[in-house]
Amino acid sequence: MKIAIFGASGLVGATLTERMLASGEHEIVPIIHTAGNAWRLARLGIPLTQADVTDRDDVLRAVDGCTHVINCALGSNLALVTGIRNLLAACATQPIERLVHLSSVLVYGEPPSPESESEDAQPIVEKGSYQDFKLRQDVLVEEACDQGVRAVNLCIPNVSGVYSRYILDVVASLRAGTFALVDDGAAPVVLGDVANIAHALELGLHCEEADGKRIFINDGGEGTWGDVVRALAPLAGRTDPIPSISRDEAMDIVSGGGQGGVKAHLGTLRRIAGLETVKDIVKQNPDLTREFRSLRARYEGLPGWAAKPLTSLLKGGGGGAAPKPTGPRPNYDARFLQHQLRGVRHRIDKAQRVLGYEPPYDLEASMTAFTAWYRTVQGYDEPGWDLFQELIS
Amino acid sequence: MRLALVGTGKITQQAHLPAVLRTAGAEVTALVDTSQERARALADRNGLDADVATRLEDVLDKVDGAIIATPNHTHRALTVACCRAGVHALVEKPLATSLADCEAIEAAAAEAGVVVAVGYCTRYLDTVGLMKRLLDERFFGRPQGFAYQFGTRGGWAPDSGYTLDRGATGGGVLMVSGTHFLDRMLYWFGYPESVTYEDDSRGGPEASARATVRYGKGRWAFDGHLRVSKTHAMSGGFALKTDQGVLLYKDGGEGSIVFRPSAQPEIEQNIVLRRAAGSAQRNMYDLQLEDFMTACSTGSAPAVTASQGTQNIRLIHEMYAVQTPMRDAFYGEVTA
Repeated sequence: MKIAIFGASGLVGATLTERMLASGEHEIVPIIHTAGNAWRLARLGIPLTQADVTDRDDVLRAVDGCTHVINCALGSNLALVTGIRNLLAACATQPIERLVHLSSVLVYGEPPSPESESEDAQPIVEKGSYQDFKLRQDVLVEEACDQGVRAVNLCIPNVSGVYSRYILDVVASLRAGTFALVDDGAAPVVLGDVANIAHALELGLHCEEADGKRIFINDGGEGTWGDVVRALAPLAGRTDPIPSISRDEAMDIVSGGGQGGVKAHLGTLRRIAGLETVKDIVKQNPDLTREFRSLRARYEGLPGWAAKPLTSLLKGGGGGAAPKPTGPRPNYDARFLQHQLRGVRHRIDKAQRVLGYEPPYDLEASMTAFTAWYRTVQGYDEPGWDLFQELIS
Repeated sequence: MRLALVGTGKITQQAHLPAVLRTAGAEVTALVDTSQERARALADRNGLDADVATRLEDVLDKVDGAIIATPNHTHRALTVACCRAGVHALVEKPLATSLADCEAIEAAAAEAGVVVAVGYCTRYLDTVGLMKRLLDERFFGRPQGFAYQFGTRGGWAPDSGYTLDRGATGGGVLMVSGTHFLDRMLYWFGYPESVTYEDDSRGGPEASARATVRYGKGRWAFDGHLRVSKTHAMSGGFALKTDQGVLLYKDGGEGSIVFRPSAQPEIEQNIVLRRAAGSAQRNMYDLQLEDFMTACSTGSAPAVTASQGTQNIRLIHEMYAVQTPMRDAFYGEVTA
């Protein structure tokens, strides 16, 4: 195989490139967009191809002679769509046997719909959002497969592991004292360790089924946010208990406490829809299930004044305005509260069946690898550490 | 002063040309670039009445000085050509990629009697000079150790992308970013007694590097620890431990200096340069250019001489010579 890796300088692309070069099984063509972000690869002393995925001729030149293409490229919303169009056109017109593409679980909404335990769930995206453009990519990939292109589409969550910016952000939030657990960390966490994703991408090159439909890839298991925080708190110098708030408090903060306008209210509604208690009630009542699906399909158009009483109603408040908290609100990071409210585990049984995927690293192993990396780059406990700590804090 | 801008990429566009345009007595009379199109476009965008050439030799008789802002490995040939034509040169850092190249430049400059200055622009921050004075005067006490860090996720990408080519840069992050701190360190403390060094290079330019430098001997010896990276962000700054407390110099803007006396742990002192009313830190590229022009017209030494640029490269190569590999496998046998 001769494999072109687009987005090779990114977290997933660089990890994959390093792995594949180390294995030496295939000829690798790492393709980068700009030199500024490619240091991790450049240090290996390998030739790097520079190409703009939005330029059709650039793409054709880059894949010349390649038999397989892996797309890890990010970019602007427009670049996402133009880029995949160009890659698919190259796959259709060149002797390329397969495209392996990365999708995102964000196409199932934020928070994801309860049904998105399975890939068959209906996507939910806001028009013009990043999720919308990722979904458009997925649609284009599937359409190309209908026309004869063979593609595998791996649908991933937030990426963890060595070099992970997401996990670095969690550590930074813990260090800054802005991280709060929800319900003592009981919420399920769904992460994809970058090494697991790279492993899955390699499997995607070989599997029989290549219809372009989404396949969930993550670390599996039953890990919780409490597990994540227990692993990372020492890196942030935290020995004190991490504060915990209730789901209701978290939802209130995430929604801006009734001050965030229409979008905040719609966000609250979506989060309500993801609650286990609501899910259970809805699942037990077919009529409610039907109504709920219908509502969810249409709530993007709801103005805030309509969303707010509905939110309260779903909480059992009888349709009145939600009570506002009193006193100063802690400056908790809404992003991670929101992620703890997702409440859905995307099952990886399809990946197991189609790819033979078994995540090599569970949450604990992933956190161990990240910790080892972080301690190395920060120089923990090495000479000068006392002074470096002054600079970190 | 008639100036040639040699290399019309990003640093020239964003720093050197604006400095020339702001500086009284400086005039761009030539633009030199292997890409005539890029040089011409820069001239047109700025309304410059300047010769545009692809070869330095074609303009040397029309200029008094040259600002050389090309890939590092070209510095020697271009600077030596300037010297031989009696043209002064302000060379972007680093002076060159090897010690031999630096020494050739120094020899050419001495023989021709021209000024060669090196563009370590942070030297023109007022706080850097202030630190030098205060350190020399032991204002903060006797040094017992220091740490310096600077890291970005990627970052500055010259138009040519040459920074990813070890042959063109002469190294990696140490040569591209770390050299700025090494310049300040050499200015503040002098040349170290010994070094240890590790980086993550596997044949290409290192993306992350760590070094320890030792100063002094016997009971007054102390170590400085450096780490620079192009793969992970680290807020840039310098921390110095002395027998009287801890000094913090944070990078960015003018640079800020804070001292925490060990005898008074509940306080910290902000060290601020007293300025005349209405005055502020001026643009460091403007100051660098003015310093270069003054050196050319008066024969005084510029703030950063070729000799200092050579010492910087000497130290970098001393570090590379003792390189040990930095750990980069964290998943056991699965990763590279």
